Amino acid sequence: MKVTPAIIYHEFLGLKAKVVRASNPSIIGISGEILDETRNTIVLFHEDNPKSRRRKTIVKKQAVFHLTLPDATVVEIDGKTIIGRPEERLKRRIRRLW
Amino acid sequence: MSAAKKRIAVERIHKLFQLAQDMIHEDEELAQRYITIARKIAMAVRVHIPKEHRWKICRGCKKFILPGVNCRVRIQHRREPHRVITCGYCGKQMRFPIKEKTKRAYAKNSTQSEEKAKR
Repeated sequence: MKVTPAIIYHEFLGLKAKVVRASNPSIIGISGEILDETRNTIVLFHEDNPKSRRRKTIVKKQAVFHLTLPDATVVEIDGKTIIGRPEERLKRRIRRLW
Repeated sequence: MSAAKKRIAVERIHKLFQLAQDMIHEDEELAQRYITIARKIAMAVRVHIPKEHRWKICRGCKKFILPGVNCRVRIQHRREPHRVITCGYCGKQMRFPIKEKTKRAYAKNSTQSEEKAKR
């Protein structure tokens, strides 16, 4: 997995993710493996607090994620760029954001 | 769809099957969802599900099946040697021929072992 804008074509399930910035302050800092993905949300397996619900559903639109790739590089991805169902992300054309 | 995207798609399908295999003992529904995503990717990008994974999807109900979890595997020698995989959800039976190549390799191995036994 190379770090290029084309990274949005790749599979995110199974990677480690962390919410670093979000418009909702209470979800900042949630981290864990990505379990599931829908059009607008990502489900994380949050391990920090055993008392609370483990599976956290996070809205992509309002969050910025740090993804840890299999080779341990960390990539910052804005949730807005990865909106879309997992199978439809492959069809989309990349819009340059910077 | 460009060749590069198709290659990424195949990579993703491989990864999803791996994840499903690891997940099926913990959360079966999630494992089934991974396979649904893998199939959807394959259909959207128009690639085949890789050969080594094809028997893991039931031809009847399209669910993920794995020996020892939710399917039965028999070897049959009649007519043509083949594997019969019975889905644990819908009961559909799938048949896969056992390849000529493996048969020949088996024969070769058995003759070799016979020769060893003679010695």
